[in-house]
Amino acid sequence: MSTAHIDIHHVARLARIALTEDEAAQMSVELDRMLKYFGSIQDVALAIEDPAAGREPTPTALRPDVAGPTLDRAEALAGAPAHDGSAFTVPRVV
Amino acid sequence: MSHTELIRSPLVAQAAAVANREVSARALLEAHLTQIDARQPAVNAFRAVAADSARHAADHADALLAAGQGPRGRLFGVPVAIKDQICTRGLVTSAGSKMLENWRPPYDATAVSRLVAEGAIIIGKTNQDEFAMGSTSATCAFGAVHHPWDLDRAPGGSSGGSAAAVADFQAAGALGTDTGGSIRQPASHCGLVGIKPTWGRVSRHGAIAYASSLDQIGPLARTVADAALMLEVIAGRDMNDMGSLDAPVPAYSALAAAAAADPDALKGLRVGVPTELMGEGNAPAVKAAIEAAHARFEALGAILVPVSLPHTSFAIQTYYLIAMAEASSNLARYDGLRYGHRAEGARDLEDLIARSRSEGLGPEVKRRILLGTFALSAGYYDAFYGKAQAVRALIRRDFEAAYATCDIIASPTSPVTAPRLDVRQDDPLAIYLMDIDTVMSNLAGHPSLSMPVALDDDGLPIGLQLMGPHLGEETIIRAAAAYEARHPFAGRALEGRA
Repeated sequence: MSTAHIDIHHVARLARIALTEDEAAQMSVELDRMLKYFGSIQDVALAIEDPAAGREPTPTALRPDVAGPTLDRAEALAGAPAHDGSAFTVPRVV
Repeated sequence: MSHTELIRSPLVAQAAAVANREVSARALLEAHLTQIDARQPAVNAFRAVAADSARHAADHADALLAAGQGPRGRLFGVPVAIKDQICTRGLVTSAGSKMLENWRPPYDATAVSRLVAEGAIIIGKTNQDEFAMGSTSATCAFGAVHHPWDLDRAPGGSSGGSAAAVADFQAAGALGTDTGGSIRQPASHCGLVGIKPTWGRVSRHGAIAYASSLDQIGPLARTVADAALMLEVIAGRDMNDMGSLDAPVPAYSALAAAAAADPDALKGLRVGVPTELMGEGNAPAVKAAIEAAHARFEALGAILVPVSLPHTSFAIQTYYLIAMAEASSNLARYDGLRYGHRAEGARDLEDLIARSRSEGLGPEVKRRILLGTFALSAGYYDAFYGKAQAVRALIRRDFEAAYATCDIIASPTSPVTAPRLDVRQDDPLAIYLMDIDTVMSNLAGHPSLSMPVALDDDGLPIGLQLMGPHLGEETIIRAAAAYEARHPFAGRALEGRA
């Protein structure tokens, strides 16, 4: 079993999710409990040398690197919460 | 044919009826729309019903037939439903989430395009657990889906709306997605056939990503023949999905028909009985039903072979660590900037993103993103995500060893039947543990099918899962078709239920 403990506020910042204090408290308890259970995979002895052993060949369906039609600007902006007709508008970054 | 007879027919029979002009595509569609109107308030299978576009498509199909230019395609005029997780151009696609409540994709998923190219009519989008994360369809932002046979129960998830729609005769067939069991488990709970293909067999282009190395699109239908035909239509190489397999698509529907007609189809088939999945963790009725199914296989000439999958006890941990890690990455795109929900009154860009995500995403989705983020974070990556990937390789090896002695593996699809909706489950981990039967196929990338074989004492369906090796869809479909022909499922799906 794992003794790792989730720093819920740190992880929430990484995940870009804002939690209320109540949510953070509840999630912290729930996730620590899950982590205890999930962490038991650390008990698995890895007898194989190569973790990729037994894996099916990675399929590849790569297209030729040739420019072609792309998403129409109007279609791309159609679902935007805010736009100025040519670009998505967001709060000032710098 | 009466309205009731029409909608209760298998998908294959409906396609034949339209092609032979026994019924118009419009009449067939209207019969399904009438059923949806009657049942939607109680079952809530649908997120959106595409009545106008479906009627337009049906009228066009009938015009082609009248002009002697039809039928065009093996699903010509047949109404099918699409899980809300799968993109349909111009038709709302929300993945069961407020984050995408009003989003309309600019393109169709490849699987949808292929159904339409074969003449299928898209009747609507079905409700689901939010972002395919769940096994009850109760986390849907647009209301829980109710089991059509018992409205106080869940149909399973996350493709619960698709399963409910097909089981309730609101659609002839449906597409779902399966990352850890989300086609097979609701198929089991609702008395249907559901197929999760080999990873890469069906294009993921247009499937809203949950966990990319695990996700697959697949069919839910009332018979093996119906599911086989739908799979045959949607499978195949697609250059829009870099994981798409370059392998020819067998004639699954013909193989199913041949197996159903062949009295010796199961002779000599080696059916693996997985020790670790047949234990006391199953509800008594489930264990008894699967053991009875094994005995029927044997009576039909199959050879039962005990097999062991030694890393079964680590499957849930392995699955959830990988799925949650991949989900945390895939769902990072939902930031309120280019599409989806955007919070109002944000202080700055970071505040806008965090608040948009918090407002738009439900608690189960947040839970999985947070744990996945943790598993990928500095100092923990190797111990959790890295280790899970290594154990995943061991699970694949377990299957390889098993398939050296058997052709398919037959297990329960779920340890339980459809749960009650009014029993609050405050322990998410307890829900995750119910996925034990299904997650290993996703981890291995192998195909797996669920078919109904019995009812429990409450009259609820029990599903038998048939797992096969890489690209083993032919073998599991043949086995399922042969079993179904000799032991038809006498549940409400075939009796019909108003």
